[in-house]
Amino acid sequence: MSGLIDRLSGRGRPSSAKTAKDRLVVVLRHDRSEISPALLETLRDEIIRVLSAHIEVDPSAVQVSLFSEGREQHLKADIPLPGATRRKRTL
Amino acid sequence: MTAKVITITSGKGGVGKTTATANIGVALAELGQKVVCIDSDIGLRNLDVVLGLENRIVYDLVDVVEGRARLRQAMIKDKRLPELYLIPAAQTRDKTAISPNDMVRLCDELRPEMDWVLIDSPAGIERGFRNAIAATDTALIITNPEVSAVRDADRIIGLLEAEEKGPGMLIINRIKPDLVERGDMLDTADVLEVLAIQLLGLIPEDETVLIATNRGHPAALDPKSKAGQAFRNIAKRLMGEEVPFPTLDGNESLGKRLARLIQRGGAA
Repeated sequence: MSGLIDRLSGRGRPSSAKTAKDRLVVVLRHDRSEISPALLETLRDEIIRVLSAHIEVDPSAVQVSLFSEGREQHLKADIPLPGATRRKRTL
Repeated sequence: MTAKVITITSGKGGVGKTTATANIGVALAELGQKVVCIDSDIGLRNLDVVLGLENRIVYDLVDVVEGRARLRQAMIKDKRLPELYLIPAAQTRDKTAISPNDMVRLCDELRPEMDWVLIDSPAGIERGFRNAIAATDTALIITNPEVSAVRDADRIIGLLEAEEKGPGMLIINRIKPDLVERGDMLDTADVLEVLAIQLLGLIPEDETVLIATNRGHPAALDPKSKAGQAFRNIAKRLMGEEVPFPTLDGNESLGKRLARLIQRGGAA
């Protein structure tokens, strides 16, 4: 009962069902794409290396992730361009 | 007549494939359909005991494939229903005793005679699974609202898609409404969102299923069994009827729940 109250009020630990779902979502992304967390990390490092040869990137800001749309898998790379905001500011 | 070939599969063992095959077979036969259930779990035969037909086996699937018996000789008729048959698995052989091509040939022979061919798949993703899906028109994926069963179901859906047999339809078995209500079991919406395939049925955890298996008298034959009713609903949906999904997981909106309480005249 206290679990239910915590859940309704948004307090306390998430329910075990919520934890189960979140873990499933993550593990299935890797299962379906056959891209392990380690491979994802390698891809991220390689993307940074390739881009850095041509443009300025902030390695700590680059995010490479997997997401699903229905049963379709996507690999997403988010690469903020620090130079672009600076140019806008100086205009 | 051209039968639809349906494979009941799951990846993970113990989620209820054999129980589902027996009960959907019974429920379709109750609707006047001609149904044959094939146990493709060679070496681990079980559909015979769930259906209560274990004492009547003379020939099995491997006998037919290897030419020792004609198809009709290996089809055991269930006397409780007008047109329900079982082709049992061989118990003393293994999965390599038959090939995917054998299953295709066998099902082609059955198609003109039947309305439905239901194939009970073994657990796993190896040869036995390949045999079970070789001839299938539609796969029914059974899962439980539980992390490992859902993960394996996803793997099976992926394999079905790769074989162009997918994505199939989902049956969630052994739902415990009280656990869902208190947040300790994945609810229907969670499972559907994760697997992203069409829902065919929701089966509650129900002790009448265990009792039915003890007796070899499938729950779908029992008008009072909740799980039996859920299997009868699946049969109707397979026949193209629109049957609403009952709420089993305490996840309905407060408004709906209130409406139901009001309908009951506040007796709850």
